[in-house]
Amino acid sequence: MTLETGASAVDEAAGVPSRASLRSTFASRAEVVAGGALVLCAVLIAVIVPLIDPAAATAVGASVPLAPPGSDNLLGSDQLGRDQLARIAVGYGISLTIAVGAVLLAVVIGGLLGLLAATANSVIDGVIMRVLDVVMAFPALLLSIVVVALFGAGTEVLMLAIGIVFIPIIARVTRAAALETFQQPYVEAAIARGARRGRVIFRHVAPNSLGPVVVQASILIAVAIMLEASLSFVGLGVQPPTPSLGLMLSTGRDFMVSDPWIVGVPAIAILVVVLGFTLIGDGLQTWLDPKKRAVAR
Amino acid sequence: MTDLLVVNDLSVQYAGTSRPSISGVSMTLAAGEVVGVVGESGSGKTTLGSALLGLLPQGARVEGSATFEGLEILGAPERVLRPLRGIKLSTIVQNPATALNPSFSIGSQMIALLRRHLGLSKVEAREYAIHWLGRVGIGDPERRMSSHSHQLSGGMNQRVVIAMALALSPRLVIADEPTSALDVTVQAAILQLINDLIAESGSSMVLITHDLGVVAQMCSRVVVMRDGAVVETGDVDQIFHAPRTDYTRHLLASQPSPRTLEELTDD
Amino acid sequence: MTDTPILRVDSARKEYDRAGSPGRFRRGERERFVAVDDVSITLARGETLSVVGESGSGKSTLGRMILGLTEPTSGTIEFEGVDVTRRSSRQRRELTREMQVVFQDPYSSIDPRQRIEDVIREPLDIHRIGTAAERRERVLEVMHQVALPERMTRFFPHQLSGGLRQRVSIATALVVRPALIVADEPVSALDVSVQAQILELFAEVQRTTSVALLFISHDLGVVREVSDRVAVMRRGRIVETGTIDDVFDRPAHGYTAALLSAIPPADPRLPFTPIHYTDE
Repeated sequence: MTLETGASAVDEAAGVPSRASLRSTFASRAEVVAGGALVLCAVLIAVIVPLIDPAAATAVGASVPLAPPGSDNLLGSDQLGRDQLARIAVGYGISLTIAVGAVLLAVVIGGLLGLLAATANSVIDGVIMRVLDVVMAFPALLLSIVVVALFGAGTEVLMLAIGIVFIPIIARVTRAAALETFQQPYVEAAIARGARRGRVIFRHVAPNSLGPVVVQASILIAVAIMLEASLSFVGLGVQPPTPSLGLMLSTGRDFMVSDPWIVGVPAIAILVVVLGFTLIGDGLQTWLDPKKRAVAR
Repeated sequence: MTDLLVVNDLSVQYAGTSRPSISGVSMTLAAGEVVGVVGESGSGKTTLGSALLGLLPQGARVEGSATFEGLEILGAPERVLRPLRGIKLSTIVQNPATALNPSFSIGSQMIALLRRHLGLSKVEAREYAIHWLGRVGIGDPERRMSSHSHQLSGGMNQRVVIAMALALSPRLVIADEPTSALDVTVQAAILQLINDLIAESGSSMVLITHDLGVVAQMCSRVVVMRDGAVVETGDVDQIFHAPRTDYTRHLLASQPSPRTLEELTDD
Repeated sequence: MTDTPILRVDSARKEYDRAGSPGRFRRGERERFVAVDDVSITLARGETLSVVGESGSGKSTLGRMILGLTEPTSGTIEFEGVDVTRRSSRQRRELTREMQVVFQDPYSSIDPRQRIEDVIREPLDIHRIGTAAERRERVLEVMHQVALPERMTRFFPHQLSGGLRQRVSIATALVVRPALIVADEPVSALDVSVQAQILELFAEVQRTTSVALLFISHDLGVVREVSDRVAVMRRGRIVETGTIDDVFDRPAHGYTAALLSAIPPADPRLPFTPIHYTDE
């Protein structure tokens, strides 16, 4: 038993940040801001551009086909004369909706499952985790293809498919964080004071376990965007004429040689938004970790 | 008699903080003395210990001077400090687990230490180590040589740490809360042990602690610290019976004691 | 006519299964570790009993059994005359209205994400006592009782020092006006001068309310100020019980004498002659 007094060396040192940790806090904050800026760009494009000309994304022949980026078409035009910028904008809208929707689904269901596994008895924990292990054993793309095959293509189905892939991942992260929180004295204090299970879980365990989940969710949004692009690329995602970044890549393949911009533009668009979310997630992870230790003192 | 340790106007500011952790700290220590540095958390007493041992984290700004046997040890390069450590200047820390490597047996750690600093052969070092384990009150020392720190109680681990600190007969030992993590009966035994060994070897000690009882029973002089500065220095009887500052008085008054307050305030 | 003691523990025992020490893998060989060995104590209404012991004494385990956080292997626990040894979760919850707790570490026993007023109000929410306005009133009342300034209601725990956080814990324990508070090492994690303030607060609470207090501590010096009676534990057993004066001035058991003598007096003029105790 350690007799913890207020006067231990650890206590005194813990209040003082080392140069290394300060550098990482600064860098991580910069990461989050940079990532946020990229995501914001994508969101703005998705929202504003369609307002300017709602039909441009599907207006066949509105522009000269396969035009490189220029004054007529800021990001060029595709093989059917549709403005790439307009298509990117709509594609962003759809990709972001699907990605965020899928992750939200995973967070709600996976989060609940993780909380349950962490706070219930070992039998329930075991059952939940083994079922999730099975789901996780399937490669992401394969699993989503199966779901799409079962329910047909479409935005909602894609959200479901990708969400299902993510549920075990979020559940695992939530469970680990919740397990740690559950050991904390303040949780035991709440139980000792007669708090019911629900209160303990939702008022004490869940809010204090959010950190790792938020980090994972940010990264998963990036993954979701790529998954959706992949599915659309193989024709199992969003159906034409609705633009999707992956679909644009796929159809543009045939014209790649004469007009590299036709695949370059959607590729960069995907890159921007994936990078954005990855930076946010990564930055948050570094930012939240030492801060948690600082707050605890 | 020249002082063994002279600290003059020492200030330490950790990287990224807005004010120094300790400032203007001065103290002296003569050979054979046990000086207590006492204060509550945040007083800076541990920072003082780290500064003297050259163990401050990177980027800490240090001002002032600290000389050991006339040699400046503040900000001295490793090649100057390393020969001093262990042989001239050693340390006892609060948590023995941080001083002992759990992957190696305590015997092998002691042997390594003795061989490195005293140049003994393996056989000689082993014998000396067993002898010291016995001296610090560890029963069946020969068998214990192969134990690992996690197999021993906190009190026993602290005895091992003390053995390692004192086996080299250092001139100066810096002990930072050496008994705070121990039960009171174990603490009593360890304090007595330290007392006996220090007296025997003529080593000096800087004893950093928050516990006034420990200070009263172990030290000949006391340095009282608060918020990074020295509040009062004096000989132990004067500090306890004729404190000159309000803070020292306040510190004395808040000691809970099994004896009644009347016994404590008879000055 | 005698008052029923508010708490009566009768021959409580807590055993744990413990696998053999590392390096000895023998199938089926499991040691039983006895944390609490046949302990009986009584606590009268409004009284303060301190349970003192070093590490391994079992005092914390005893406290947890009383609080219902762990069940005794054998023996009984009676609260206000009712056997609560094997509590149902419903019974456990109802009991907490009358039996509250103050934990040791103020840095980890308060939810870092809740504001102070939410922390203190929680027992009222759990037991659904009063309207929202009445709860708010009661929180302010109890904050005043523990000398916490009203402006701290919206603060977060990390904004408060250890001593202030411990006041929050005490306020939380008092808010439902329990009959018994179990305080498990409530001052051990605090600076000495802050300890004195918190002990003074406990003394004040004793004076102004009729709450009974079970004060668990490793530090004999600390308990003197707040206790009526003391029980000394060692290795799961109670070696001595008595009034504060009896135990301190005329310890009947060798271990108690050793414990008392082991505390270095904060006065260089007083002798320091720790008695060494071993059980035969």
